[in-house]
Amino acid sequence: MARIGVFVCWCGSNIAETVNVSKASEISGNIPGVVYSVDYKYMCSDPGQTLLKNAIKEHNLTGAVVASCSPRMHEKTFRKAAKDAGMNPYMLEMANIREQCSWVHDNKDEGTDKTIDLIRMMVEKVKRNHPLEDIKIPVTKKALVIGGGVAGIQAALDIAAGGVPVVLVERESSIGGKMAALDETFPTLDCSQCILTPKMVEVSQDPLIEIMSFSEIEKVEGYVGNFKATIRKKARYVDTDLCTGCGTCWLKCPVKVTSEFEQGLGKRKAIYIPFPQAIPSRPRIDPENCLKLTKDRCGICQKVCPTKAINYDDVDRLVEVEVGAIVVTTGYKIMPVSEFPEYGGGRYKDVVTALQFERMVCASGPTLGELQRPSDGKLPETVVFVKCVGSRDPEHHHSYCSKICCMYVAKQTMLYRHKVHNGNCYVFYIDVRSNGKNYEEFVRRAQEKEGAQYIRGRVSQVYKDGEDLVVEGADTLTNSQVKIKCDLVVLATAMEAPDGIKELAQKLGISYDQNGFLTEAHPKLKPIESSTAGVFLAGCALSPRDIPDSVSEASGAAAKVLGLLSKDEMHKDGVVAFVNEATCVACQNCIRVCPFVAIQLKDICNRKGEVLRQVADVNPGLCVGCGTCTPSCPSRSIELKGFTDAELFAEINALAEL
Amino acid sequence: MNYGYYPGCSAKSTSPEFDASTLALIDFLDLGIKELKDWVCCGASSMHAVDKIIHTSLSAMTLDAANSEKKDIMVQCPACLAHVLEAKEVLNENGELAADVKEAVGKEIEAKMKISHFSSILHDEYGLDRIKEKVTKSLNALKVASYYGCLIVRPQELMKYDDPENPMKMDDLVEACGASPVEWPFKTKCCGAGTAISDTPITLDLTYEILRMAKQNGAECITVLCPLCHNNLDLRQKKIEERYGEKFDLPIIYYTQLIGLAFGLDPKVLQLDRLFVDPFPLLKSKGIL
Amino acid sequence: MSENWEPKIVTFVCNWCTYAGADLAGTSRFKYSPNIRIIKTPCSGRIDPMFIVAAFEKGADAVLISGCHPGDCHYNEGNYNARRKFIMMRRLLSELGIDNERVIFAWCSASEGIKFARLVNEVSEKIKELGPFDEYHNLDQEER
Repeated sequence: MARIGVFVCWCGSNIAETVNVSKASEISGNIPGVVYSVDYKYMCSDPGQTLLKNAIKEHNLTGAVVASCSPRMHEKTFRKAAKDAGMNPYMLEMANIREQCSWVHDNKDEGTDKTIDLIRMMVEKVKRNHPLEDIKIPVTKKALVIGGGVAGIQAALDIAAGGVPVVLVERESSIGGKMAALDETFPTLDCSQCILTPKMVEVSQDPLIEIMSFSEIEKVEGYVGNFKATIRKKARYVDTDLCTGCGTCWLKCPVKVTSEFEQGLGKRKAIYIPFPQAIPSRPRIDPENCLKLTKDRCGICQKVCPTKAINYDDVDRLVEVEVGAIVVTTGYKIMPVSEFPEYGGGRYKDVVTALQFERMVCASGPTLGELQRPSDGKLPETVVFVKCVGSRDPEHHHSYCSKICCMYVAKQTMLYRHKVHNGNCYVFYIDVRSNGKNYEEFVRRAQEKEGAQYIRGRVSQVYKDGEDLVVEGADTLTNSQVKIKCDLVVLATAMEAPDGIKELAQKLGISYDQNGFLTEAHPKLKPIESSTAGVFLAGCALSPRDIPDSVSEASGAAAKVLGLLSKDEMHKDGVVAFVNEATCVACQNCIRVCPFVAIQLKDICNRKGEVLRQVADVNPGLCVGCGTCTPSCPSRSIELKGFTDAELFAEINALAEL
Repeated sequence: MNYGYYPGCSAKSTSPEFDASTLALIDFLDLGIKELKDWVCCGASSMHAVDKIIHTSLSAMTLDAANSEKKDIMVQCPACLAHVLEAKEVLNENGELAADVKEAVGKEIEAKMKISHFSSILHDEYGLDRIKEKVTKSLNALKVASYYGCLIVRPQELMKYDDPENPMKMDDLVEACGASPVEWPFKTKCCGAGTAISDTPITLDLTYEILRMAKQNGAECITVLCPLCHNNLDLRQKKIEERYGEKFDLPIIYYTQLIGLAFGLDPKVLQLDRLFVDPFPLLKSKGIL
Repeated sequence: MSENWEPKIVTFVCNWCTYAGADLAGTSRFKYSPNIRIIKTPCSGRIDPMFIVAAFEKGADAVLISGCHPGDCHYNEGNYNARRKFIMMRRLLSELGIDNERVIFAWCSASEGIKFARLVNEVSEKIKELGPFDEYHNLDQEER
């Protein structure tokens, strides 16, 4: 039999002014199952809580209803007090008679009636409540970082600094990401490699960080604290343990291939490291261009390798790692110029992306920093930069702003003018967005001191007139058409979600937006959490960002990971779904509606291990207790603990007394 | 293929050679396309600016003409094409304007028919391979700049003709006939269109750039699919040359005429003699005639 | 009907948006009609159509359901599920003899205390005009 106590709070005069609390307590005492009822001036005060605790003990209460403020305010307080008194905390419910009664009504009789109703509803619910236990989940104290750009590097370093081992998975053969390809960075004009490569070395030397380069995520199973990731280590044809990175192989390799790292502007060999400071400094063989692997000829690299590290029979290998948390820092790609035929992209060699321009001016680039236009190597005397190419263009490409172009274009005009002192450079823009520390000053410097000429308007066409490129556009400030003859056109093309991101998101059970960027759990208050517990996000995987933002998010994600993995087991609210396996018919409705992929089919086997039938099975680690599954069940076999049908119908039925 | 031919007013007035060469191709390829009996003027470049209802009703009547013959519509003039496509869209969306049109025309008009440009029919339906087979007189690597003009590709959502920045259909067609298409950036630049009448110098400026760019990229002639473009480039070429003191001598030849030549059709039938910039010296020097 | 008749309105809300919105109405002291009784669920996705039927069976004159705005769901998509369910449910309810005007579906966020108060008053006024739901309550059990 239920033995329920009702505790009506006055909240000073906050409740007592519009609710006759003694009457409410008196009438509540007559509700069947209520063995004790009392009203008190401040239930949340120490004496109030003591009153609750003593009543629980003295009257041997099985449940309690505290009629006071909103449970959002004090549910934790009272449940803790109940627990201290030996009662299961989930057997205590609150009737919200302040925010939702005394404060919103004037008439004392009506307020009192409503209070009694609210108490009755909660008493009926508590009668049907079951004691619930918090869910304890053991955690694996290891983290996985996916993507080895600057965000991934920072996340890995910070997690390792907290003493937690990290596996850093990178798709390319070296970590470093896009930042490794940049020349100088805004707003300080410090050399990108000078600030990035020490971090890369740090990663490679950290005993807690394992770099898996040229590897991709194959599969991810499990849930927060207990993920199992399968990683595909793609065939590299070089044994990275034997290899010392001496470089003999790529010096001797006879095959020259267009370099991806150099954005198509330079060459690499068929066995190569993408750039000299690559980490790990181990080459890989490009099987599509290697003579040995395509035509069974050559084989020079194997012959010259002093450590016998070349293995032409290498195959992909799958490795499994168990981790407690995952950070996704998969970065971005930029739209290629070929997407913009109206700007001569793909037709004229001298129409390049901003990333190509970085390589053209970079001291470690294909021309060693000597600015030459791609078609004929001529020094460009006039350069036109076009911003918002593919960004802020909802009709044709992307509606979003790529955020960093305003800044890097200002930077590139300076880099250009530093190389060509009397060169002309023009910038077509829609707006100049420079909201960051020292950003506005930086753009002003480009415009006012470094001679960049800004034209507000869009470009309609880029075409070739003889040897010159002609940029035709509008100057919307003077309301005129402009034509600029130039030698080089730099398109600030949009940043896009990288290839394969959707597949990765599906493997991780996280969501992405219409542009393919990963979605944060809350745009303001959970900006680096994904919708899946234990999976965190940072950097351009979320949307276009600059380096400082990416790095801060990476550190934030690392802090989240360390917090999560700081305890041996995680405690989770007991409000989760559970399945009545006797009545479940495995229709999978609940599986389809669950927003958190927390339900799966489970085999029911006989003693011989033969599968008799299947039922739905809730993973309490993943379930967040939303209850969307419950109404979807045609056989009423899945219930949400703490909000069962019986409990909620009891509340509704209590209204019959109204 | 079940098309009725909608020639439009230009073909019957300023550009009979376009009409004649089109009919000659239809006949030669045995496409069985006949002129729609009751086609109506589309309102040309002015009516859509004056009265939306009359403008749409005119084209709706041409749709009706096709319906009564149970035909799809084959169009040559890009303006006519735009207007009948627009009317089709209006009728299918069935909004307020459609109701007004219905009232003006006095009946409900179904707009289910296919509407295609002749070059699309040749390119996509008849097929380049079959055209290649019919070529008896190769265009001998004649360097042709294909000039599409502004209308045929814009607005892309309506016209759905080809890549609006770099259309290739005419290039492909003349290439199939043995010519060498010229890669050039002004395929869809505006020729000035109707401003030729209201403000001729603007048109002359624009067409000058087009001719200059074609020549610079090595074109020996320009091929077109729009009667208005043709007028502005062909009829006014002398004026342009005078204004800029630059000699072009670029024959402006309809794509139907070029294809006809490759099929070995009589230049008289194709009415090549009607062009203002004489194409015969060029065609003879290239051994095409 | 009697002069003093007041409608009974059962309200199902989600914990994260509308319950918090109702709390905000309280802390802001926005007054509203005392005719409603709120039943809290974690998410509007948890609200079972049978709850609505049960509420009417127990004498409710109207049912108000409110959750997070589309796109704001604490659980990402629970409210979309709720929306789909209740669009279907409306048709079923009218088959059962429940007037669709008496089932109100609204979005109300945690910051919309004033909206919640107005919503309750509007619904209360509307149901007062419609009068008690006697045509349903007077049906005997079998007819239902």
